[in-house]
Amino acid sequence: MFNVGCSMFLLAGPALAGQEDYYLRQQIPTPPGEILELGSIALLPDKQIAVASRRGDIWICKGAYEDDLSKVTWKKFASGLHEPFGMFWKDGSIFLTQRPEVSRLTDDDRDGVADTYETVCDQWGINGDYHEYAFGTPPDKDGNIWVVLCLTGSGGAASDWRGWCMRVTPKGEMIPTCSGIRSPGGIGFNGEGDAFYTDNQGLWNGSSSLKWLKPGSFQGNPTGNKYHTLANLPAPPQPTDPSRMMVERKKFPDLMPPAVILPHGKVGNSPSGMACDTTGGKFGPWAKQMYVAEQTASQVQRINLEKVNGLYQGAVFHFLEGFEAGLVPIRQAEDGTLFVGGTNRGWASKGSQPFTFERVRWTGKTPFEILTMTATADGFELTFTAPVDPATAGNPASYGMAAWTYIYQSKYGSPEVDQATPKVTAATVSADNTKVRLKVDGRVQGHVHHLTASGVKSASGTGLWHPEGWYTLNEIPK
Amino acid sequence: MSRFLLPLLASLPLAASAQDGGQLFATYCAACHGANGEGAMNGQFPPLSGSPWPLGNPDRAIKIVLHGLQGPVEVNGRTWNLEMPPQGAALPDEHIAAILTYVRSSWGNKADAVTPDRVKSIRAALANRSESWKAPEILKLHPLELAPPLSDLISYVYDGTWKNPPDFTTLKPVATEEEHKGLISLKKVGKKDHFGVVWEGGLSLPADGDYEFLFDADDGGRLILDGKTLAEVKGIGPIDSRAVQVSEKSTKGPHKLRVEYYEFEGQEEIRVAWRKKGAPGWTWLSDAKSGGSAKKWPDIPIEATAGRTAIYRNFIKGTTARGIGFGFPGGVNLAWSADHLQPELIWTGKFMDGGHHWTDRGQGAEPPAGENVVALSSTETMPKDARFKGYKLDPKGNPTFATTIGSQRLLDSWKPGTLQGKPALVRTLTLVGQGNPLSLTLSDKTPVTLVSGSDYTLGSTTLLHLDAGKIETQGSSAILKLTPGQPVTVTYGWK
Repeated sequence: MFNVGCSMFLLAGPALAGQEDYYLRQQIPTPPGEILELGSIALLPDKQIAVASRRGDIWICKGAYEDDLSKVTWKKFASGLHEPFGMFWKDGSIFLTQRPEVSRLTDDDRDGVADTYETVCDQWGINGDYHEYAFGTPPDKDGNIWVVLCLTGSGGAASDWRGWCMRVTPKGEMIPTCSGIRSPGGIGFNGEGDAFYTDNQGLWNGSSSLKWLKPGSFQGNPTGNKYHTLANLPAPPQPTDPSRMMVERKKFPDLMPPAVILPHGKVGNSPSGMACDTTGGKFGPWAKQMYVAEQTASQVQRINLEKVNGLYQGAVFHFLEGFEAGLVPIRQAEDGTLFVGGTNRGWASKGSQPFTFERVRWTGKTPFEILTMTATADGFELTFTAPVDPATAGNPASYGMAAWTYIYQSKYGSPEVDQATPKVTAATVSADNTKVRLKVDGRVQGHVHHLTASGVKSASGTGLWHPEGWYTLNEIPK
Repeated sequence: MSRFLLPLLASLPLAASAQDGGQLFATYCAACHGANGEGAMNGQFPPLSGSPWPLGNPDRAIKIVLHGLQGPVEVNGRTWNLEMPPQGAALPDEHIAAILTYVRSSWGNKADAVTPDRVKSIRAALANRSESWKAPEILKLHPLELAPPLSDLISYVYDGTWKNPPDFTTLKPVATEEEHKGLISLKKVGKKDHFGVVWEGGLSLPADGDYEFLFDADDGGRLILDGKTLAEVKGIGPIDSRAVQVSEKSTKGPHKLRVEYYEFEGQEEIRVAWRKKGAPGWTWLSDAKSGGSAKKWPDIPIEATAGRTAIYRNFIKGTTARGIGFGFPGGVNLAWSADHLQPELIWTGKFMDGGHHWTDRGQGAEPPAGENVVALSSTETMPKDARFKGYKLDPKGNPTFATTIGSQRLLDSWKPGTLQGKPALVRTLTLVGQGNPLSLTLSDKTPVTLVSGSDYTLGSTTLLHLDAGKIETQGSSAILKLTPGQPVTVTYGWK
């Protein structure tokens, strides 16, 4: 099966060296003549998939799991929606978060076309500014949909609750949950069911990052703070400008530092949707890791998270690339297949097609990679996907490290500042040769720690597929 | 760079290495401006290659990089309306200088290097500026140093009475002029009727590839590139009636362009433009462009298909941000506000054009595409506790909007029909649940006047017919009293 698929892929276009050995990326044909700039993907029963376009149509696809994608069929389920970003199937309906509301679409007469467009919640403001996007999750364990509301023009807050995260209950009530949001690109949950979103570089965001939506937290951009009065909530923090995240965190316990910074220009430029791998190894050994889509670079990054002293942090690694448009939605099916969608209208992307719907499957071959990078009291521990060569992996000279942070400021973005050069002074390989403990002198709390492990070889002599990782060290474990 | 060098380099202090402008451009700029400087995705974003914007006095480009640029910007005759985010807070002086030096010396661009000191002094001088630049503001400070669109352009004027293109090579011009602006223009010819003009000049194309040329004339003429006639407009007639668009493979660099033109009598105009094949906009070589009728967006008509009503939920001009448009078969249309829970616009003819919101990022509100637009209301007239519950479509896609008001439920159904033999909108209002009657505002923007019985006029173009009840006027509002369990059907027709 994989051989057949591989040759199809190779015919379809030039492959990036290496990726096709491990992951098979295939474009799924979309309905002829339709402009399907994908903003949402929902997995339906019986291996059907619904996609929603930025133009506001929902199409349902059969055959997207089959080996022969030329037999995929489509049926239009709904139209006239306002840029939906976030969609799922539940209780026989499609739920989606569109710009003005959370909606429930039901096909009452079972003819394959939605009849009822029920408004579940529309209690936030929109004023006609194109940037007032809304991104929504699938239901959490209580059935709530988490919605992040982009600022007006990404720099103002002209409509109610812009810059806030809301939970929408199954009854349609709206619970203000976090403040401080700027310009989200996607939202989802990790393996523990905690909600995260991606926020894009800009005002108060020195770099794009993955952020933890801990209820009650302030995510760092004070533009929408004023709306706390609408629900008699305490005023969110007003940070000093300019400053540093570590400095302001000490003043404001509610200020949530980014869980994982995705260094601007190095990891990507516009992070978007996310999926947590809960397939238990059907897509490789990345159990419970997060896959974060990237619009500008047309990539998927991989993130391992850990909780230290009550805060999430972790490392981001480059993972999959070469997608045909700027990625936005991403969903992983139970069989491990990763479905992604893309658009580059209005925001350019490396992939040059105006839109795309693709799937990625694991070939069964695992690349030699850093599986996880976690913080220790005196350095970092690396776990590899295969046994390492103890000689190279145990040599501190096989590793390089640089660290920096960003100015926390109202201006757009930030240079990398406060550079430090932590030094790897020891590298201790575990007895089973799958882990290496790095002793690192000169780490800086709050900084991004950029690891380069180019010198490490596997037991069979190959180098790392992706030798770089970027760890955000919010907390240092004891 | 080989991989084993990386650990070594990583330990070098960042500032010690010279900044690589090409690498920085690839990281921070190429996503939109394209690795080749031609604007990403076949020119969906503005080019830097061959653009006058980054050339000449570097202060213009430094300021745009520092503070960003918002709103319409014209480059080589094409207009983009996007946002360039400010980079001043993200990029240090050395990076900005390296990037601009790279841009000013790449892809055929030729201009001096930019020094970090120059960036530093501009940054210091504008330390208090936080807003992005707009094109007119920065062009006032730093006008473009424009290369003429056609180099060494010469015009030859002829007298004669032609209704078809003559062979100008056999004729003797009555005047010959150098055109330093490099633009094809009739403004200085000084003649109204019975004349001809030939222009000859150099056209520089940015790359090898497929190009498209646009030629239109009132009355006629020819477009000739490197001796080959690409387009011809014959006979006599107005502009926009016989425009010719042709594709032509061409090469990077200079080409000889010859344009021949004749005017018989009446109006006169000539339009010449080129673009890379498939690019969304034209680069104009004439001062006349597809002027008054120039559309910013392509036409993407949205309409009822196969007897099913079309829906358009987006920003519709004349209603609120939560407007929902319905285009019914037969050319009758509705915009219903899910903010105000009421119909706000009705109109006839075409429904909506998606070109505005479905191209680029979708800024602004789009007016109805059709005619006879009637504004019904634009204010909140429903009780404070009214809540939108969504809509249900019948098998033909016709909506019933649901609104709760306390324990009552208002159903507002719309479908196409006829009134006095013409297409009409048929609206049935049903109040469900025990309670008081509801005073419903049918219109507070356009006056309703009783004609006779249950027939009314709505403004000057529209008719209203009720199957039950009556409309009362309170101030400028036309009110219908709706009793629970007693539906009323209101038909909106056009005279």
